Amino acid sequence: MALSESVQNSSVLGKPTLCVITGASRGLGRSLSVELSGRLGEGSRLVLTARSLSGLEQTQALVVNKTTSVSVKLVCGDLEDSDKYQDFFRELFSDVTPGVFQHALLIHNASTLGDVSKRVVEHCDAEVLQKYYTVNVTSVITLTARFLQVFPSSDMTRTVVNITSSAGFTPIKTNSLYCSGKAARDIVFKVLAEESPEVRVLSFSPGAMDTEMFDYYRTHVGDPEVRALLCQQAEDGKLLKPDFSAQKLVQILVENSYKSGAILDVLDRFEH
Amino acid sequence: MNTRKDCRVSPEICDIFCMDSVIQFKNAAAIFNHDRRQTGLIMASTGLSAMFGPATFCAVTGGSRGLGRSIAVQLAGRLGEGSRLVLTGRSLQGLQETKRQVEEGCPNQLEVKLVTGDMEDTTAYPALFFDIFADTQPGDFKNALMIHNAGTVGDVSKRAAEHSDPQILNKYYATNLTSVIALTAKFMEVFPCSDVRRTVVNISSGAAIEPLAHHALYCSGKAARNMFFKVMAEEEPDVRVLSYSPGPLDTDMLQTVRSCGDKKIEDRFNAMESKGLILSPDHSAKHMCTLLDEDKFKSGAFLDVFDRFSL
Repeated sequence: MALSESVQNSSVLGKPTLCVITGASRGLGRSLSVELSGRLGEGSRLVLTARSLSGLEQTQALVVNKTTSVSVKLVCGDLEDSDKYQDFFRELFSDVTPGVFQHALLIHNASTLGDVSKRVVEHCDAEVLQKYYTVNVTSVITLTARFLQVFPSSDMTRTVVNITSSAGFTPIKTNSLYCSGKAARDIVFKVLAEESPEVRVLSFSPGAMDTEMFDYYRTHVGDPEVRALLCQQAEDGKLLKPDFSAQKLVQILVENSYKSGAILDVLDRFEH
Repeated sequence: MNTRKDCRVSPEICDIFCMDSVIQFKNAAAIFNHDRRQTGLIMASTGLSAMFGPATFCAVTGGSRGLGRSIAVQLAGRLGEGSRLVLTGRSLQGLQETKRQVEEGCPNQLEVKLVTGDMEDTTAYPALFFDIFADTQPGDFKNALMIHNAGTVGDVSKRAAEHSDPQILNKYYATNLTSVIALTAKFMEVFPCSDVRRTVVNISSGAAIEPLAHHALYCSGKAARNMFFKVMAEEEPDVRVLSYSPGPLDTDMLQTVRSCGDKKIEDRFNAMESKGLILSPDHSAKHMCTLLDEDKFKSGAFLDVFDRFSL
C-alpha cells in the first residue's frame, strides 16, 4: 500500500489539486478528506461541503492536524435545495485562479438512503421521491457539469469520482430508492466517460462501512430479513472502517490505471 | 446475483458493430416467433388472452401515440368481457384516435376510458391518479395490468457535461421516474390483494444497461426504473413484474433521437433503417403481449424484443 515518495509525488494527486468532496462532515467523506489531505501536493485546496457546519469543522480540524500544505475551505449547503445550486456551486469554486491548479478532483460522496422503512408500494409521495432524486442524482449531474465548466481545459487533469454501491446492481428489499439512485448515477458516469474521454471518471463502491449511514439503515430498515442480515454483519465485525475504504480509493486514484467509467469495489469483488 | 459483467448483452441499438448480429438475432427470433404467432392466432381467434382475459383492468400511460397506441390496440384484442382499458397521455386528440383504433379492432365489448394529464407535473398526480382509477372496485376485476409506457428521451443535443440546469433534470425525473413509482404505489393501493392477478410492466430500453452518448438522462431514468422494479419483484412475490425493452421503433421518439446532432448516431440509425432493423411498434407490442401471455418470465426480469438478453 505504501508508495515511494517519488511515485507519490509524480502521481496525479501530487500535483497542486483543487479537490471538492461532498458529504464531508462525517463517515466516508471525512475519511476521504483526511486521507487525501495527506496525499495532495503542496498548494492544493480541499473544498469540503455538507449540511453540517460543525461536522465540517471537525473534519477540517483533523485535516489541519495532519498537514499544513493543503488549504481547506468549508461550504455549507443542502443538495436537496436545487433552487440554490447556482449560488452554492459558485461558492464551491470561487477564488479559483486559472492555472494555479494542475489537477481538479470532484468526489460525489454525499448520499442518502431514503426512507428504508417503506416498501416499493408505499412510496406514494411524489415530493419525497423528487427530493430523493434531486439529492442523489440531479445534484451529482449538475455539479459535475459546473465543475467541468470551471475547469474546461484538457491541459490539466480532471477527475470525477462517483461514490456508489453494489446496490446499484443488486436489488435489496426496502432499498428501492437507494438502488435506483445508484443505478442512475453509475450509468450517467459511464456516459460521461464515453462522451468526455479526456476526463478521468471513476465509480467506487466503498462497501458496507461502520458509519452513521449504516447505523441508520440497520435501525430503520423495514424488512426484518434485511435487518437481521445487517445486524449480523455488524456483530460479525464485517463492517469496513471508512478510513480503509478511503485509503483504497486514494490508492486507485494514485495508480491512475483504471478504465474511465469503471465501477470498482473496495475489496475487488467486482469490476463493471 | 446478476452482474452486468456476467450477462451476455448484445450492444444496444446505437452500436453499429452489432448490426450483423442483430440481424441474425432478428432472423432467429422470427423463426422462433413463428410458433408463438401460431399460438397468437389461436388466441386471437378466441379473442381472449390466456393470462388476462375476462375482467381485466388495464392502464397504459403514453397511450396517445407510438408504442402506447400499439400496446392499447394489441391488448384490447385480448381483453375479455368486463374489462376496462384506461389510457393516459398529454394529447386528448391522440388518445381519442387510439380509442377509435381500439374499438375498431376489438371484437369484445371493452370499456375504454381516456385521462389526459402531464406526468411532469407532480402536483397534479393526486387528481390524475384519481381519474385513472375512478370507479374501480377491485372486486370487479380478476386481473389488473399496469403498463408504464410514457417516457421522454430528454434533450439529446446535450452531453452529460452540459446538463447544468437542475430544474430541467428534476422535471425529467418527475416524468420518467417519480411518476412511475407513485403511480405504481397507487395501482397497488387500488389492487392490494392477490385475489386480483396483478402485473406491472416497465417499458424500458437497452439504454438501461448500455451507456449511450447524448442519452445521459434517458439511460439514467431507465437504469433507475429497471432497478426499482427488480426491488419490487423481490418485495412483492405475488405481483408479476416485467421490464421490457421494445427495441428501436418507428415512432416520434426515434425521430427525436435521430436528430440529436450526433453524426455517429444519425449514421447508425440510417444504417439500421436501410437494413430493416427499425421495428413497427405493433410488432413490438405483440411480442410484449406474447411474453405476458406465456407468463414464463422471472418476475423482475428485463427482456428484449429481440430476445437478446434476459436479466
